[in-house]
Amino acid sequence: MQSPTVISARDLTKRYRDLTAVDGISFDIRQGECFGFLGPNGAGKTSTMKMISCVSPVTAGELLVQGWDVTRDQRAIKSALGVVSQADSLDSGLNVLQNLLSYGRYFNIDGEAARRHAWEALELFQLRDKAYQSPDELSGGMRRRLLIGRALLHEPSILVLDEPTTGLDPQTRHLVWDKLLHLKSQGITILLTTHYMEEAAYLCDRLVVMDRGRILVEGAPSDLILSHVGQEVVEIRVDWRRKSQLLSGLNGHGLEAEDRGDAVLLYGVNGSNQIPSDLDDYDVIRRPGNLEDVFLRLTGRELRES
Amino acid sequence: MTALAQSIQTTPIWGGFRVWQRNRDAFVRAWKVEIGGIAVEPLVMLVAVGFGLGAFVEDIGDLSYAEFLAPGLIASQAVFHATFDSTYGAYLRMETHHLYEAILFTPLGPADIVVGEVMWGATRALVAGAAVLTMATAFGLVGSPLALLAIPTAYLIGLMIGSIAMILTATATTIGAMNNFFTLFVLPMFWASGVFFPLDRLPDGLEAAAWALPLTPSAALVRGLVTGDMSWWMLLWLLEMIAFTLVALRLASFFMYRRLIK
Repeated sequence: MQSPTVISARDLTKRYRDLTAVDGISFDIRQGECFGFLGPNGAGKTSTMKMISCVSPVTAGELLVQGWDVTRDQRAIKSALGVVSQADSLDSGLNVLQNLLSYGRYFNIDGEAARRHAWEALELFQLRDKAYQSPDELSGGMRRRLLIGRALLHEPSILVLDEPTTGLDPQTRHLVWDKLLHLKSQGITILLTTHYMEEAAYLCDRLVVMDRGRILVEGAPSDLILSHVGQEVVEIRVDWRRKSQLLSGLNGHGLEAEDRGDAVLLYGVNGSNQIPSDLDDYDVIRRPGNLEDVFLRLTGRELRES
Repeated sequence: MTALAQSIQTTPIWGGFRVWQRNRDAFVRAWKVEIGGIAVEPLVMLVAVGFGLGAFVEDIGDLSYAEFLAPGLIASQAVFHATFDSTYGAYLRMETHHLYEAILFTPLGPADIVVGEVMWGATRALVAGAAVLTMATAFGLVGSPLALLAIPTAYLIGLMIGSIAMILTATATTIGAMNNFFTLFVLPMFWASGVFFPLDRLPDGLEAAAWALPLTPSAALVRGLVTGDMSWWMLLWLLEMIAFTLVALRLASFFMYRRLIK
């Protein structure tokens, strides 16, 4: 049985002056799933998140969150969302506990209930003994945990995370993943943008890959890997002097080869018999295809400045 | 949620109160740093100008110079404290502490932020005004129990000037813009709004111009209350201040929306 749709976008468009950040995208996010937005810088991920969060008006198209229209029902939508934006917006005028309490009050949660929720959040994110310190005294990882805890204070049904683990050490990243999976198991819908393919593959039930304001593909991570790069990838590490020779040799074998700069990749290889024997004197690695292969294949190697 | 609760929640007053609470908590946390400014400056000014300089100044009507000056100081201190908070204070919260950015992702919006900030600036104006009133009372400069009404008046002064200041804060691109607001507007207004001398000493054209400044009706209103010299003009001044407040609040909310929602 398919869960009901909680967010649906139809031809959603965002234009700033002369830049089209989101160019007529459509998607449906279902209740209780973790849905990822991947894409290079400037792909339109954050603009999409901001429109969903009702802090950036829609230029064209339709966007419904739990049936509410973002152009009309902003307070209702914002009450249902917990948002962790990219900016570190902890309140340095208040201590850690007060940060949570004041944030709760913005959602009209006050008094005993607020206090209970705040201490639960501190407990969940292992910040109990920091309650009376200034956020300025916290490490980057602690700050991020507090930001996520703060976004959960009013028990939102949808959690929106814009690059939640960027810049975190592996320990903190795994702690955050653990908490997010825990929240998902409680039925919270999670929207996530990330540059970490491993994170997207680990957390997301479904995802879209965006580039230049458009959605390139949509699907479950494992399906995308299978359909775009295959189960197994052959990676040939090669320096630039021998690369053209290698590439022309591979073309003769009729294999799908892609130059990724530091290596040449072969997709859709099944079984060792297909690997040309003249590769013996190269550094060849066979490994499972992954989301990063899909991502780079779809969005190319060109750097994005924004 | 009931319809009533929802409608309360969607008014800027309610949202503004939540922002006000945040500023109150931050103030209480740092009160030791904040408290000095409320007492010292008006005390020095009252003694130095009111009694020191005032000893060389003839009475103004029935009032000694210190009696004339004290109500003006209540109004001008209210102006200073509200202005400081709604310019430097608010700009710092917006740009350095990312407070507005955080609030935008909650059910509150730009109008709630403006209203809350202005309410907080007005609260500081009230405290500062009450401090001057207390000193004036201790020096025997208060002529009427109506002087107690100067305290809510200080709050209204704070709302008015804070709303004007928030227009600037919402449009400023650097903190340097605040300096201009003080040197070109607040300080000249301080000297020209009937705080230090009766405005009828000015040539007619200048006197009319002085009455267009928001501090002028404020100082006159407070003076009427503190001296007990009531007149129907006071009602007009009150309406003038309310009009200033409502227009400025609208403009500030508009510019804040334009700044924050892109």
